[in-house]
Amino acid sequence: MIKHMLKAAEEAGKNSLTYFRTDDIQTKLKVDHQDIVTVADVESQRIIVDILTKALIEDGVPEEEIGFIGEEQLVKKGKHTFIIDPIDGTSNFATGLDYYCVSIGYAVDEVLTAGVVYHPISRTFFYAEKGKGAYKRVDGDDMKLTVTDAPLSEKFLGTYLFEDDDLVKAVMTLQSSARGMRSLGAGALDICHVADNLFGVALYLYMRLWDIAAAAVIVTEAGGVMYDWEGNELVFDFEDVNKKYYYIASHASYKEEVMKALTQVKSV
Amino acid sequence: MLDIMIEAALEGGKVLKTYFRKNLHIRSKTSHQNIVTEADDASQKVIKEYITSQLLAKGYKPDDIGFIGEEGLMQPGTYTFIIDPLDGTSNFASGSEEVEVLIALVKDGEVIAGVAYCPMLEILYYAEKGKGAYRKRNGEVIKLAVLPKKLEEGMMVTYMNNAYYTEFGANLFKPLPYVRGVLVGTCSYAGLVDNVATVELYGSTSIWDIAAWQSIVREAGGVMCDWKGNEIVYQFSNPEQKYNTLVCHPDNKTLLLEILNS
Repeated sequence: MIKHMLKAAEEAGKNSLTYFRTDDIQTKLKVDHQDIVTVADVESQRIIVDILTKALIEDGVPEEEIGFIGEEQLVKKGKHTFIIDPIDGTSNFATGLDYYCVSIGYAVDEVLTAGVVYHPISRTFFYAEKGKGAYKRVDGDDMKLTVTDAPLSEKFLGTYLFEDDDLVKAVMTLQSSARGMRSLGAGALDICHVADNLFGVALYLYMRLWDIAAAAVIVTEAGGVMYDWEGNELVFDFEDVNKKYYYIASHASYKEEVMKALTQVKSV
Repeated sequence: MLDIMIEAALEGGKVLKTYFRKNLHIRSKTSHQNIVTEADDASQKVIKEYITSQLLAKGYKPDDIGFIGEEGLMQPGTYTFIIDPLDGTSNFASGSEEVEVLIALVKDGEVIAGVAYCPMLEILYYAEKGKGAYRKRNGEVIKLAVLPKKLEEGMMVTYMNNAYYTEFGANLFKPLPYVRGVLVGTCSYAGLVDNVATVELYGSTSIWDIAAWQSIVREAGGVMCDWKGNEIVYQFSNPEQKYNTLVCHPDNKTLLLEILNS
């Protein structure tokens, strides 16, 4: 399955690059100026769906068993469900900033089993299959990813800042232990950077299933953990696709410090 | 003079590449969020030596050549080169490519040229007073022009760590609702001249962080001012002086100052 997902992510990424920094992206507001969509999001999602559907049918999977949950108004139930964010970091993409990615998660009977995150501009893949480890692929070379427990002071806190008192307080409390804070605008890539040890902790709120499904497999296969703001294991809801997730991705050794900071925030 | 500054920045970048993603000896300046490595020192050394040798070869006297550098460099001269040999040391030490070499030239108290080189991304920005600002990427040189975008059509770029938050609190985030999103930790002022950012806001920056970019931003049609809207006035005799900067298209300056000072 992973080879199909890698191929789909790569082709979607190629498509997005044909629009990148051009006047053809046709930015539209979804909700407001901080929640936008472009023609590349919609096209890339369609490319992913077409590639995966064709590949699975060729592998003998009945079409009615192939499901999709995609950011761009896509819900189709199936035993084999792909969770798609065709462009994670659309605001960056639409503004000409290359920190964006394609994210494809794969679940069988609503259990996540594989994930691919692709950064088109650097042609870098992050991918994982449950039980088989997580990898970063650059120029065809695969490197195994292992989250280390180096001191948090040697890694960054990754987040996406916006106007939310709890988030700002939590970030500012936690970042004092880290090398610094980075807000770069693509949550799936940020989680992969936990797997790659650039970030020690990724802390987010209001994320959707398609923002995290693929990267969740990658970071856990790299030895990291994901938990919610209460410290509980993340439980993904495939029925309520609009459910919002508050999550942290990190090495398990940072969890106590993270939870202590979040407790302080909540008690203020 | 600009050619020498560009070559010096490339030489500094070459040195940085030899240290990138290697085992670095990281020293704390004031805390784990303010660090320096041997790559900073080596880059500054090669930049200073290159500029000095080139100017001496052109007939300048040693007294003509001055430096202010982040890594303990202070040497007065008629032509003063302001150097940040590795802007983004924390990124560099963590293996992030978002770093740059900055060199500005000051004569008679005025910044007259600036160079910013991102060695890992191979992007070069440069400007000379009255001659425009340029970006060289993938062998292509383009003239830079800051576009008159609405705030909501671009990002806000800022920087935040413990010291800044203690000093400025949420003030740094005041423009946040007006922009498309916020970026923290990218290559400083490149966002504005690349038209990715519609506002860049920094607190407690040093002369070596901003002098080169001031020249590039100004020549690209942008403005750099302090948080009250005043022109940045450098204290060359006091390199420890800190500056709060706002960078934007001139059309957005008034609104941003209102937001900031509300």
